[in-house]
Amino acid sequence: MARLRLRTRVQSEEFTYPGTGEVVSLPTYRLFIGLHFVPPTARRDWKPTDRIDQMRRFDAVVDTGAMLTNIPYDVWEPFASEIEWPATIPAQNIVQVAGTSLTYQLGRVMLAAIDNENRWMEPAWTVARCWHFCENALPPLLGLTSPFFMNHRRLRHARSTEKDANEKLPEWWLEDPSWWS
Amino acid sequence: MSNQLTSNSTNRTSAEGAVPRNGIDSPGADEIVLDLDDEGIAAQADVAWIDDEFNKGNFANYRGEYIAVVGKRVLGHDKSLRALRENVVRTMGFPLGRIVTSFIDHPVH
Repeated sequence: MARLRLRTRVQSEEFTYPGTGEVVSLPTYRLFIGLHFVPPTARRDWKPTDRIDQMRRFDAVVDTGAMLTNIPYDVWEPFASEIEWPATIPAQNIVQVAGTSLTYQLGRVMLAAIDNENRWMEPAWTVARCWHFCENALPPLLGLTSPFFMNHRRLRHARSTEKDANEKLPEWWLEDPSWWS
Repeated sequence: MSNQLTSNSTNRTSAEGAVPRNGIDSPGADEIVLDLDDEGIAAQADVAWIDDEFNKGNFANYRGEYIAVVGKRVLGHDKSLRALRENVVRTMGFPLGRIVTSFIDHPVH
């Protein structure tokens, strides 16, 4: 079974109790995954030989509420020729985000994943909103219900003791039981 | 296609040295672990460093921007990933494939 460790980023947010006005700092956690563009013609067992081409690697939030993956223009544009653009879907779609009109093109993208301990997960397809150029476009995210997570791939939370919970970040793994040696 | 799924023992290594810390079952030899060279390992260390510094709150000034890191140093930041890469290549001389970049997001609202 192939697997890799998801990365956790934590930020503190201030929260004000409505009644008392007391301000407390609450940690918010986000799961991140390192993704890597893979040419669609590559074999499924393709992997980098000695180093990661950082042009091809990008960090994405694992978005539990998203069916689609988001890839900003500057991230996907160098690899536009490796993305499948379905002919039946308009080249320009518009979505309103926080009062801003953002345009995108849906693309089928082959992505592999890598963690900080050099674990690699073989490429899989995902369907992505490839944003047209816009400085306010959404940051990279990988939709949890996108095809990337199909075929029995699963997220798993490692159990931790109460002591761990106070000292360590939550530990999450992406596993692919269909990958057998 | 099935032959593409067949493991080659030289392509897979065990998870030795990367055993999870808190007891999750280890699938062991089926993990795909890259055999990176020194440059590749250094870039991986930069990625981990970005997460550590982010979690310490040290990147708050870069929210809403991409940062570029080589050798655990922030070499630049910009809303445009393309402009950032071009600037670092032009001024620092690092090859594009070595410059680790990451988007520093705003807090969750």
